[in-house]
Amino acid sequence: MKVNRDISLFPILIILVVASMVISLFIGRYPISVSDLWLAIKSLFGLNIAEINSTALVLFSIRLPRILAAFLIGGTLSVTGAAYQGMFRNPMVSPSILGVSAGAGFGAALAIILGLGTAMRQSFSFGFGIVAVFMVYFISTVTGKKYDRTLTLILGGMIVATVFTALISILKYVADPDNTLPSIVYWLMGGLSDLEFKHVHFISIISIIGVALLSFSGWKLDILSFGDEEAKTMGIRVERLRVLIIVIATLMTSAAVSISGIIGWVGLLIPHITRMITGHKNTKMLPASFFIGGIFLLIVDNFSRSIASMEIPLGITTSFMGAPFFLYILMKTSKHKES
Amino acid sequence: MIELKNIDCGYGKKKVLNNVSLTIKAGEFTCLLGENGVGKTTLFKTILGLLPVLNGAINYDGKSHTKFSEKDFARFISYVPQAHNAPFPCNVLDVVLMGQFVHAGGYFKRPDTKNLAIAQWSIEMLGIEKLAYRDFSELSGGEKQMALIARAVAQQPKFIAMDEPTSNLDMGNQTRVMQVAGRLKDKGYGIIMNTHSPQHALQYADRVILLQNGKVKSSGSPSEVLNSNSISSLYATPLEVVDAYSGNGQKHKVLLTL
Repeated sequence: MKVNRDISLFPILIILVVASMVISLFIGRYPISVSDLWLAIKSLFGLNIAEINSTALVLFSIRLPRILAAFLIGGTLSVTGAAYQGMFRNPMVSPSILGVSAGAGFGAALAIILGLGTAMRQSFSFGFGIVAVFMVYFISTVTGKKYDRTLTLILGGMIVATVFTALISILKYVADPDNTLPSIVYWLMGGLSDLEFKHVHFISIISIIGVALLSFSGWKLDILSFGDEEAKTMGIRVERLRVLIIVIATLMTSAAVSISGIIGWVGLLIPHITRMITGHKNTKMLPASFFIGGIFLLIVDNFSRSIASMEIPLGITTSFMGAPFFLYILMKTSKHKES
Repeated sequence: MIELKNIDCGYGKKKVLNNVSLTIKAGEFTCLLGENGVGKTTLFKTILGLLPVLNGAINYDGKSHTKFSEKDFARFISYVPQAHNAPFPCNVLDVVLMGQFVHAGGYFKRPDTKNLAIAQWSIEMLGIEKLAYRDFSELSGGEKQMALIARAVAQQPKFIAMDEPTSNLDMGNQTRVMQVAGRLKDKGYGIIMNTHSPQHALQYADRVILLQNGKVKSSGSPSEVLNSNSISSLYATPLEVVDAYSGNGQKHKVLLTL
């Protein structure tokens, strides 16, 4: 009886995901009707490839990759944020807590300064995101023997993020103000324009494997939330679990940030919204936060690309939508505590 | 059987206890007594494998801690912490079910019906069926302690180690917790309890270990070890063990503060 209710949430979420993706296909500067969509799908599966019409081009090589990317990146940031909040036993933690965004930002800025192409910029950003977290982990192993391990990880994250943020500032300072500086600034604001299918392959593989592995660790994270010592006596390999979560979360966030630039709020906010729906148990909350985060970023990105004649950077939209939402949650939970 | 052979224990380089040799037998109720700060908790954590042994060796059924996998060790000895709040809202059954983690099958480790049945069995054994679906955070201190004991039982271990389970509890809850511990011993579990109540040791323990000045001062049955002199010296306060008779004429050893 109890089990059934647990399972029925996910079909609903999947239906919502598909529905929001289909609706998103219609949103944009180039108006598309339902019959256009039908014709486009027919032309896609038609025998004569040459007949693929311009609608199909807009839908499937411009809008669809962007929709998929928005969903996957939103989901990735949310599920890693949720896993980190569980692991650090702290609800105010976001996926960038271990400096991954700062590292990735530096990588991207460096690639832009060096005049490298999109693929190299993504690789640089992905690579430096991992380097940053590796440095944090190293700092925490050196200093963390006597102190609380989660604390040294968070402090290490602050140190490394500060260094990389300073390095980004240096790169901005030396960048060409007519050319590379705006690129760096736009990249740091986050956005999903000019995406093609080939950019989405990497994030799809990483985020789908990652969300599965994180979800399967849900019960262990529940137990870990009782503290390292108690978890150890219950048979959890605490350090191994921590490394596993950090490695998966870092690969996922780095991959996401390397495509989209820095998008704040999602990884902090969505886990809280998800908990209001699913409760706190990580086995259910982690996969659900992936779907809900995906839908959220998809909706926000639809606003970003359609609300004004010029596209609004995604990082700005998420902040504008995220801040009041967070305020609402804060007010709601504080009321709940009073009663 | 847990054998401690000439071990030193402490945090990092700081030794708290020196040259401790003890044998803790399966199916016995062992109490660790000593004044605050003497190193009860340190020894306790060392036995649980949470602190490294600085010198000497501990054998658990003849094997050292490093020979166990985490899971096997958790099946050997389980831990009852002092009652604390749950880190997130969950009901008692969820908490107790966590004890079954080491027995959950499959690579991905999700609780199945068999794990759930054992968690329920453990809840029944402690007689806290009424709490099973209550929110853990809303329980009283005594109820929380019971739930945490149920979790330790659900681990199906040989030994259950309880860290001052009666501290912060009122008289009724203290008694209930001690009675449950006694009942678990009768069912064959080895109980290792860290306590600051010599009265509890007198009443329930099979074996008492007195810690004083960084050493094991004495160990043995309560009647051998716990007398007015030893307890007074242990707590540096005049205390007396006297015989008292309850209404039905039964004789009890009772501790008096003077």
